[in-house]
Amino acid sequence: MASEIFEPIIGLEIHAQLLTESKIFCSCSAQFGGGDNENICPVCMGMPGTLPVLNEKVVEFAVKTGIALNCTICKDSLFARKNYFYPDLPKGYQISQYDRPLCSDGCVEFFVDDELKRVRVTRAHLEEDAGKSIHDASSSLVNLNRSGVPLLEIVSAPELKSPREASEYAKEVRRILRYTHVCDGNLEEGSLRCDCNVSVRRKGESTLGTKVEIKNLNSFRFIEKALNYEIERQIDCLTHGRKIIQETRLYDSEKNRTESMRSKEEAQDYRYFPDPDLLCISIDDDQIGAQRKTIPELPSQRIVRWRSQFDLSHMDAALLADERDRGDYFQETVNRCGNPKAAANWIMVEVMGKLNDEKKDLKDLKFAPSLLGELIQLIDSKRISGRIAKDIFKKMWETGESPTQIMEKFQLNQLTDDTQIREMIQRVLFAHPTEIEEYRRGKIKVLGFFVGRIMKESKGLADPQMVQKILMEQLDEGTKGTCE
Amino acid sequence: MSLHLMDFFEIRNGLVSKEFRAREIVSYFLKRIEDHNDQINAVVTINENALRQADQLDLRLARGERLGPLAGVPFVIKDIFCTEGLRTTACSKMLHNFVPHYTATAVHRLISAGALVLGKSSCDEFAMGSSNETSCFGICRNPWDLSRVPGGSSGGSASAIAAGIALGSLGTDTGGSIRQPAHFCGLVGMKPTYGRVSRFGMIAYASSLDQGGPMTKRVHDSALTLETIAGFDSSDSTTSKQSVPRWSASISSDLRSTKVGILKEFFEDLDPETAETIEIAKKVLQEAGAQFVEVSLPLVKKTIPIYYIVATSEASSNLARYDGIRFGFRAQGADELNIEDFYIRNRTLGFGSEVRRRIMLGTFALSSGYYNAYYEKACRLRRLLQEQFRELFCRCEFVLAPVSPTAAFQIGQKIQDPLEMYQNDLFTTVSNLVGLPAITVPVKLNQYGLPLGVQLIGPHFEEKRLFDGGFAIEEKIQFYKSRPNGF
Amino acid sequence: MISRDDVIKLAALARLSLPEEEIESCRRELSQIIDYFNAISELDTEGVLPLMTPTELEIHLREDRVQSGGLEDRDMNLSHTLERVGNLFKVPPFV
Repeated sequence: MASEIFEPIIGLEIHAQLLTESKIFCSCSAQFGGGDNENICPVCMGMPGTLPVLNEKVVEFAVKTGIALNCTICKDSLFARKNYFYPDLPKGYQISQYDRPLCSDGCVEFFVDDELKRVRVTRAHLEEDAGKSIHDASSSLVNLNRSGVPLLEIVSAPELKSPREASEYAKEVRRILRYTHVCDGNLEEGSLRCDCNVSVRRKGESTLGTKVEIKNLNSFRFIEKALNYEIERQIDCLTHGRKIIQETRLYDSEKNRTESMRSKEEAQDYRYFPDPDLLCISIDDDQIGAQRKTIPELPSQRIVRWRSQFDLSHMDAALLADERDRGDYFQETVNRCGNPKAAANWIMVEVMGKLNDEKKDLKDLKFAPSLLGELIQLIDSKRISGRIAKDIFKKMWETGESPTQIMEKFQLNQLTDDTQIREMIQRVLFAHPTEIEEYRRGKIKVLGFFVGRIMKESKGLADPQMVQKILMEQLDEGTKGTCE
Repeated sequence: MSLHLMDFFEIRNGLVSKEFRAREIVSYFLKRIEDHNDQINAVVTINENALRQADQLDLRLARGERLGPLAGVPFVIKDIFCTEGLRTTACSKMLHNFVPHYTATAVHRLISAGALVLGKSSCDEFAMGSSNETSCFGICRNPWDLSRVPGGSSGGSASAIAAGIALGSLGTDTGGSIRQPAHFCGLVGMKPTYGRVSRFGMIAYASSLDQGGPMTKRVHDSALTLETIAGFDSSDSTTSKQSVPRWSASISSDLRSTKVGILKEFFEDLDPETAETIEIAKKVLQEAGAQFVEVSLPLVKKTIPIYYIVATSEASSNLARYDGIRFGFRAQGADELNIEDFYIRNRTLGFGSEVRRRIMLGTFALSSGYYNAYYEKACRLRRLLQEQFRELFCRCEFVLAPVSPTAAFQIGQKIQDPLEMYQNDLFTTVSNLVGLPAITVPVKLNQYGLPLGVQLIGPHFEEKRLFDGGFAIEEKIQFYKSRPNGF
Repeated sequence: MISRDDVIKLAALARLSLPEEEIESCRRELSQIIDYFNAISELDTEGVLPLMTPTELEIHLREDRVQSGGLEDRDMNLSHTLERVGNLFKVPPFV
């Protein structure tokens, strides 16, 4: 099969919009939305005589991200002008970075299924976003709100070996960006954009094939599908003796195919040169150290740790680590109750389930993770049963009160007193001699009936395991009795 | 009362002591513009609000408010500086109808200090030129001889002051564009250290070379203007945080213990008239106590190609924003073309030939395959020049040099040959490449009655030395007393 | 020495046009100036780092606060061209 002879080589360029208040080189708002051309000023409009001034938060976020991607931070990086003409590029050049990017030589660890992979990040550099436009047959209309929004372009080495790998890598980068609060990773709104570079070569070869760029894939599914199509297309070309043209293609999600963009006569000459309006971005070790301190435990690190320390399954660990607040919530719950499996279960099933139903987020929860931990502890110490715990949980959800408070208020302590339970069981058994007969004749199902009756007697508070045990004892004794 | 013969101190004094009012100053100079501008074509836009602004100044004076150091001084502003509400064109068809809604920082500071803006002065289109012959408003003329150029690119500024239709001007200097017109028109022209004056609102030609600076008749006026406009600006990342001394208060013509460098390479094959001008200046400086030391910097002979490579490269990028979309010239019928031709039509018709030439040259020097040999190479030479000048200034306080190979040349004489025109910049471009401050001071009139001046070049941030040296020359020669005929 | 093709390519890159009859004179003129530029090629710059800007200071950083743009300024920002549809800049179609 052709795919057995060929292997794909994929690299990803991810553009992340940084979550700053203002734009990278002017103090207009960087917020998404806004009325047409409402967030613009002479600087981001490229008016005569205007000059760029760098936003300090952009540098902080970029350094932070670079560290999270295990990059080396350049202490004197430079901005460069990328010169080309396009109506949504007001200055006729984009301020970007070329030689001496802010971050380089990093790597990302991520899981494909439960296997840990590692891909190098060649560089991550700062640049300004362009405006947006809408088109019809007679004209195009340009909106410069987005012009000047800060972007961090993260470029992977061409080391991704399958469309699945590429998509998981992209998801991990998104996760890291969200974990560090530098980008909200919203593909639909365009705060995260992915371009892919893909080539194929015969297995065993060391040189890279001709690469094709696929632009603007705005969902992880599309990344995989587009790459799948493109790899097949390229293999098909090569096996039929045709050459791959180095070009840019767009993915058509409806037809599920990539198509050549209206081809340009030749490659663009961007004439990069260092921007003389901006000087060296000077970073010192103190700044790097300060940013390093703000980086939380990253998702893949968490998954590895939770799998080994807490013996969680990969799937559970991955689900909990998927969002930072969810992972934080889980970790804090475990810190309180020491029962990671229970914590995982409660969060994934009860908490997430209910949040989903009510279309809410974790931040809307009325109770802190320590209270959930407390609840689990109450179950583990047998002060309440699992069934009662669910009722208490419902109350916690509504009022935010602690489970202990609720338990005491409604007297929901589990009944674990041996004597009381025995008395209760005896009362029930005494009241139902027919059913005892049925049990002795082998109708095991009657057990359930008895348990139900007993639980009802105890208003659900009796420890079900104790009930089971004592009930069996009593019934067997009785049986012994009759046999005599 | 001949207001146009006064210096800044006299005019401010007259205002403050109520000898005359700001309104009278403005009326007086507007009348002079009316009477003389047709001959020289130096002022391209009159400030319609000038009288109203003068009235406001009078009001503040009447209320007993303390007025700024430039109160009442009438300025024309080179049409490279954006002025809110006042047409700003860079003397190009590309911006023929552009009225900015923001003001350049340097101009803003001037106005805050009480200066009165009469209007905008002519210049070479986008500040690219050495003769003010490429302005879309037509040729500007030298008041000393109307058949000659006033110099460029700040020709309108120089011409206006020499003709007495303004007392001061803000010009810009990228390769000599303040100093050379000052020399051609017998004025003091100062290019400060790169980073002294904010470039915000100054229409960019070459970002790492451009500096705004004053053009005046007297050295003290130049110092006063510079200390008013200089200083860090948060809107321009390339401005320096170095403190700005109050130069005007401490100018001294005592040059004892001052060593003045004579740069050997600048004096090879010098025009006799220019050489003589230098000798006169040398004698004056000597009498003021200075000693001379010969210095050598062979690389200065190559500064013209280095300059033009860097300048045109940066310009080709800086001028890419002129496309007619958000502002500026939009050719008739352009909107019916496809997008590529839309750009091409607007830019080809909006820019003059010298601007188009420099854009092409800059595009070449930055293009793939040539970047290393041209742009990057030029930048390496720039660093060499800087290092060599650093060493040179260990041996002297400032350098005495010519400004230009000749006095003002005839209109039309060099415009047909760009390379010949570029040779004008032989002595001036090095200061821009290294970022050094430099001043032109007038020295004499030649046999044709044309002014000749000299240039003093100093180390970074040592404008004081230049004001001192310049004042020593001015004090002795008093060139400012000479006036062109008919003005 | 640059060729006719070079001139045409440069003009296209810079979004400028040259009428056919001017291409040759432009080529000659540019060639002359570029030949003049070649004077720098013999100079030794081995090991010298390029100098991009004379000051080489540290970059100045701005606080992350919204202080420009906004609805109040929109009309002024858009006032420099009449070619608009609503509040959007109008150009010939480019996609």
